[in-house]
Amino acid sequence: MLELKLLWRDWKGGQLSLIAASLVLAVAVVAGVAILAERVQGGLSREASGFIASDLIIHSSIEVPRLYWDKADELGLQTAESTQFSSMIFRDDHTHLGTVKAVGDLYPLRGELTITDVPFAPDDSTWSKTNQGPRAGEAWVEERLLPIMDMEMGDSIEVGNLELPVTKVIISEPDRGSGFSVMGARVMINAQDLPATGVVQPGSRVSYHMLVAGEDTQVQSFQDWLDEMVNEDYNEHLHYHLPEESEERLQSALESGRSFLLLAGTVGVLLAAIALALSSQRYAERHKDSIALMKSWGLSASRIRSILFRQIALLGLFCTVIGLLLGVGIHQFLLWSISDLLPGGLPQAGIGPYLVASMTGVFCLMGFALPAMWHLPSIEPLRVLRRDLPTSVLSLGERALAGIAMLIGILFFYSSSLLMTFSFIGGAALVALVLGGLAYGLMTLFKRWATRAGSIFRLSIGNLWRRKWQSIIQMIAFSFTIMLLLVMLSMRTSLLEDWQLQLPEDAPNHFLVNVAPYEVDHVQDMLADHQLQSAEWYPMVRGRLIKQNGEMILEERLDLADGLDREVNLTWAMQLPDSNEVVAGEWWTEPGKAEFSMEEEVAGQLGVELGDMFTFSLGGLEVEAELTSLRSVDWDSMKPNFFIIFPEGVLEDYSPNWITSVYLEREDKLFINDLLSEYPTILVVALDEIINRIRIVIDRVSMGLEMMLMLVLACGILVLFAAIATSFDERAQESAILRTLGSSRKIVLGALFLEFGFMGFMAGLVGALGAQIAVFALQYFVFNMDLVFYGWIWLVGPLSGAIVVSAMGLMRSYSLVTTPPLQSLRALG
Amino acid sequence: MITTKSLCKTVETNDGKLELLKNINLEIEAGQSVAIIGPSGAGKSTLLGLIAGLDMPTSGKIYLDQYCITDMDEEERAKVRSELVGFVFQTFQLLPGLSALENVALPLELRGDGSAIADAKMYLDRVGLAERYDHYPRQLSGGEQQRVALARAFACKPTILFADEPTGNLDAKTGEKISDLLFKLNSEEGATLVLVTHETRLADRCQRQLVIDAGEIVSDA
Repeated sequence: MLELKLLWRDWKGGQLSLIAASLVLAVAVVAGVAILAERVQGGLSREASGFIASDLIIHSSIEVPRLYWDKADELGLQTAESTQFSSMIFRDDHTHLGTVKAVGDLYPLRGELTITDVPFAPDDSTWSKTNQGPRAGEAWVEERLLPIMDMEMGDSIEVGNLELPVTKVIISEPDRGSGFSVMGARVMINAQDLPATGVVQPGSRVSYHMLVAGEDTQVQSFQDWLDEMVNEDYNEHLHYHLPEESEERLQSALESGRSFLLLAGTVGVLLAAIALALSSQRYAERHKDSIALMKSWGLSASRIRSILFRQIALLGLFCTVIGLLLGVGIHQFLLWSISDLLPGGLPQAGIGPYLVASMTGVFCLMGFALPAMWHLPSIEPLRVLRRDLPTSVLSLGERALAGIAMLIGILFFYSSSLLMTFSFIGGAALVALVLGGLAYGLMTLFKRWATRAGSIFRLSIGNLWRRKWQSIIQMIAFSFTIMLLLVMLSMRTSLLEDWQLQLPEDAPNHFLVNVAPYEVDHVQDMLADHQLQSAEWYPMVRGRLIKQNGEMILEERLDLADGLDREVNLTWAMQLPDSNEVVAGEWWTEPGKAEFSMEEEVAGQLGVELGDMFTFSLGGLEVEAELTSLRSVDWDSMKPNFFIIFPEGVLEDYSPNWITSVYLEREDKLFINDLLSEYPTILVVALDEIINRIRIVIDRVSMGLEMMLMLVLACGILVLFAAIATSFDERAQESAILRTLGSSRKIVLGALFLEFGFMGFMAGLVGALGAQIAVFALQYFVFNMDLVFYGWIWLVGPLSGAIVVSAMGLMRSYSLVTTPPLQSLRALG
Repeated sequence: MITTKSLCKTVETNDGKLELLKNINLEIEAGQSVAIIGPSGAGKSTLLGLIAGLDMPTSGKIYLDQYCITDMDEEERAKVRSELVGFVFQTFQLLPGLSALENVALPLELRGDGSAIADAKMYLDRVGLAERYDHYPRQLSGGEQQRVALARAFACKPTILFADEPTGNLDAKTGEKISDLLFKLNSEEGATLVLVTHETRLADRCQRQLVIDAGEIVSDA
């Protein structure tokens, strides 16, 4: 096949390497991102399924009707049951109001239980994971129950009428959730033992769960069926949850991670596209003569067009295949590097990512390579005799139009958002314009200065000035590359910082609840003895909101306010808590006045206004107070937070309990043992396992981001190479002439070094400006983060620009001073 | 073989119209060798470009063999060129990314010639470059590059060979060798040769010399 032969010869002649590399990278970046994203997304949603121990869970206050189990069976879904209730646990003369969970043999369907035989072990070497709960006749318990009941492993506890030996300690269970709730210690038993306990009677407060797992389509069908059942009578008792709803914090980290991957993919493709456009330009430039020659031999324009099209199509095909393979490799490498962190057996990616990557190759070729070569078939054959003959190239405007059209296509393809697409294009156009203007201005400035400087300076600035339009286009390409890379770097930094800020290493991971007023001082002393720092201490009294402006608040209205529809914890404080911010009204300065502050979200749900008078019922006694402020609350702060806060001097008479949170290292966990032995009524709620799991997922996503950054850097370097190559022939000729005229190697290299260094420096400076603006925009609009100024951008941009561009320029041009000048001139024809 | 009638070529410049060729009437017979000579800017290369079908006149007619190429569109002219014409250039016009052998074989391959490589080797052997098949243009001397160009031109077996300053880029001694080779091959292949040159020694070897000055034929001998 002639086209294949011609393509091979072009490749051997080194004329295709940049085009091919750009295309391969564009496809590889997209393939890598898309395959990885789809697989990890699949894996993580399976992992997230672990958070509810299933793919879908039904919560019910009545036994889940047979109908539901039958439907799940009919759809081929796996099911498991769990039943949860509070019950007194007895052992000799010790009692504790435990939270009992009776689980079926298949529990958990997703995720694993972490268990151990060694309570309060200083490390996790004794932990093991299992995907099955206790067998009939056994009880597994949370470790804090052991000191409360003054017992050892193997001792028995009584749950209702049934006595069961404690065989394992539960470190974590998949569907425990991170939601803060004041509950008794977990006791897990097998569902078969439940009847024998005799605890669950008609009318008992029991929470029934039906866990469901299966293929996505099966789960979806079941979910659709559930939605249709909404009108059934008993549906008011049942509601279902999906994994995505279980961990909002994790979801938001994943979402940001996904946005970043998307950004990285897009930036990678844009850079590869710029490299492709530049290298195609050079390819077309170098092929003018050969096309003219072919025409002189009698090849028609249509034949040449067909040959070129087929060559491009073949090139596209090869590069796409290699790009896809490389993409698969990249995602494999990524998976390998984070394999310790990933859940085993990720689901395979579908055909989608491969299609998306292949389409990217086609888009790039059509938008960036084809326009540069479009005019080739119409080159006049007379050019073989008159090389100065102008060629009717597609105008810069027409090529830019084609490129922009494809950019819009690619951006829209990825973001599915017209707003984002056009903001990006508009921003890029503005940046190009500003960059061009600045570059021109700076060159003019330096030209004036260079006339007074030494010969090397004069030569290099003179060179830049002579090719000013080409220099400006090169500088725009450099600036864009540097800008995009800086944007990626700083977004990565700010994302990681943001995540770490959300979950600092020493975020409190244990809540101490139900501390009696007279115990507070002792507990504080104990904490101090163990060198542990607690968050603020808050008093709590249980109260219910009953009247607004003297009128009873209807039950239905309270139901709308998630959190106020039951007895809630009321507290008092004179200082606004750290993780709170007053968004309306004013925080009090005087104690004793009957006023209070409400969390803004529930205030919105309830539809209340500042100045309204509310009545609270505290164990039958009523307290009336005015709503004087609304607060936003950072619920993720892992510190005690409250919907309702009073000033001091209002609720003190209602016998409060105290609450605080504390950070405990694993090896400090024995403290809980000591604490509970001394104060058995205190509740310790451990969130450390949940926090660790969230942190692991965030680490995973972060490592993915690092790898993507490397790929995008490779694309950036390609652009630099392509941009340097565009003026290589001219530079080669000039250098050869200079060498012929006797200039030393030092002068030629020095001038080249300065020329590239100057371009890189300017491009870096302008790129830093663009990056800072883009980062602000991204932080504000896409990632919903606080705006952060990065001073290092301004240092790294110009410096790395100067160093990298001059190093690459010199690397590419070094042959100019080592090859005899005549040979250089001959090679250029 | 080649006939021109009232051939004129005018181009627009900033200073108005410029007549490059004025009323050229010419007849070249098959097998003849013709040198077009004249001072720089006289219109030699313009005339060569027109009669080779690479360019269109402002007015007048050109006949190559039995074809009136001035009545044809570019596609049809391309077909005529592929049937009849070969070129040798002052700047050799070898493709830098292709080896000597590939440069010679390319036009044959583009025609779909199954024995392109074998023919190309044969012609390279004939110009004395049997040892240089795999050398790239940058690895060849000027004289060697022009030999490759000659091999490429003759390998296509043209009826008419146009040569534009074929020795213009070479030193006298090498130029002499190249012109020897050009005439030797031309006599063996029996093509009509039209060449543009500054060099009287080269022009002297042609059967006929056309002298052009200021766009007009001032002598035909």
